[in-house]
Amino acid sequence: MSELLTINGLTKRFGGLTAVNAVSFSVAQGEVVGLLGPNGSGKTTVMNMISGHLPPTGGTIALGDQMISGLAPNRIALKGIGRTFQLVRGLPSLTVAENVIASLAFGRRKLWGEAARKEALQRLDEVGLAHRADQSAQDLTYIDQKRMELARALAAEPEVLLLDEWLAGLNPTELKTGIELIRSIQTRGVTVLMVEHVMDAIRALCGRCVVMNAGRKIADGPTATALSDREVITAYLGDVHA
Amino acid sequence: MIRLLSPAIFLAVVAALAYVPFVADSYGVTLGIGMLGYVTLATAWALFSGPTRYVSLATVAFFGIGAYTVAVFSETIPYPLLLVTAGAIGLGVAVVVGFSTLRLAGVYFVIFTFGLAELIRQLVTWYEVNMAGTLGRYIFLPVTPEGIYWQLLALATITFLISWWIGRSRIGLALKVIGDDEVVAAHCGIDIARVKLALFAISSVIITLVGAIQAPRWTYVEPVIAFNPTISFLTLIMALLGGANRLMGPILGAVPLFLLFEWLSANFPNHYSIILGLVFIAIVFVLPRGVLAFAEENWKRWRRTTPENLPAVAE
Repeated sequence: MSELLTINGLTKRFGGLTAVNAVSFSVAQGEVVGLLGPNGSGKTTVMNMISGHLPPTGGTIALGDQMISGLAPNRIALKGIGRTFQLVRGLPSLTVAENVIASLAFGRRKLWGEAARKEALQRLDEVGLAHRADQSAQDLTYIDQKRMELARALAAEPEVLLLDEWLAGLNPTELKTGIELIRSIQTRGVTVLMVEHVMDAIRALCGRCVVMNAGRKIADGPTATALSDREVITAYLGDVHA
Repeated sequence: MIRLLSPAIFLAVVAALAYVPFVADSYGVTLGIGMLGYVTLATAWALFSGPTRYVSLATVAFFGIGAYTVAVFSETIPYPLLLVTAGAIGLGVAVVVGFSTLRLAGVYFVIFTFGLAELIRQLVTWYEVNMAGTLGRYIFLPVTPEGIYWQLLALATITFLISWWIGRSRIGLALKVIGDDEVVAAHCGIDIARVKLALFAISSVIITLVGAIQAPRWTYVEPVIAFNPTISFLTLIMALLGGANRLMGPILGAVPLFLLFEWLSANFPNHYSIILGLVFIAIVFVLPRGVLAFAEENWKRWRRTTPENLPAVAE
């Protein structure tokens, strides 16, 4: 398998705090990889560095054979990395369709006008939100906002999709729909790196997991193996259980 | 039908305004110049500050640059070129200022732009006193009040059309996204700095031209007149009153407020500043998002509560 996303020695320091410490892993084309770890272990910081929201203190990130670490987020987006945010970020003054058009108009395809509108409706339909296309984005429920954010990220047709706790806060029915949605993204050949706490979803979706604790990578392997790793159990539950 | 109607109305309004100097007396033309000046200033201000929500108090910096360019070069550069020169200087300053400030956000940007206007005023004063050996300058240009009126009308029309075009274009959407959430904007692939710089430059050049076109009206300028901060505040409050996010907003704010201030300064010359301040406070408290938004919300609420629009229960 060819590696699509390669992270090497990635480090982020905030003053004296090392949030991410020399983390290296890679994601192959078409893979769905889970990025796990207890709260504060540095998962979101890793995601933020990949998407360009935060510049790394050290280390490199490569997409295919292109170095993307240190680039501005708009440049990274144009190279083919899409994302959702841990706390949903809709664009409240726009309609739902316009939220998706935003990523079509300025992304890699530069769609505008009728073509963009048509494409946006199609993307909204994929996440089951086409009937709300002309509503204001601020009137959506939480799950619908998450759907809209996913449609916006997918509209850019990213090669790598970063999902930051996209399934968090959903009820069991919504969770099932959500898992199906991510699976359908995978079958389209999009590579996914997801930060997630919902274990059912991880087992259902991720072939492989990278586990972090206190800024370091402590496990990397097939999901079942990684989750039963001694150090991983210690990190989550403490020494007694390991 | 509406597609044809709006341009027709627009043309009719412009034509009617262009005809005004033929029927109005000299006071009418003066009033028209002031009104068109503020309509253009408020629309140009809202072009950048409306969608991005970057409140700029640098209006008078560019306005003054325009006026001073005309004052300094009025005897060396022929008239139409004079406006081009002023626009070019305004553009140059806007690009330099834009590059250095657009990373600032919120209140820091407001304070910076206010400081910028003062800085330029002090620099001009210093130059005039120490280098040119004079504080004031006379402007003798063969431009009639009617000529100024028509130039301002042309500039106002162009500004309005630019604002209309931006509202429908890709860059307009980019501005709205930036105004909502800069992080999302960047992740959508928008080059935030470039979009903001472009809009700031367009807005600043228009404001510079307003100053340049109006300058011959004064005959005599000095920094205190050309860089009077009240111009920045008036522009801001006019755009806010109408609603800075809508095409017609700045116009609807500028016309009544200009007339109000004109009346106030004629009838209460000693209390003008006090009343002005009270009006500012009233607008911010009562209509924080502008008349248009206010009217729209109440219209919706009124429609929702009228009985005939309730679902027919009796069936």
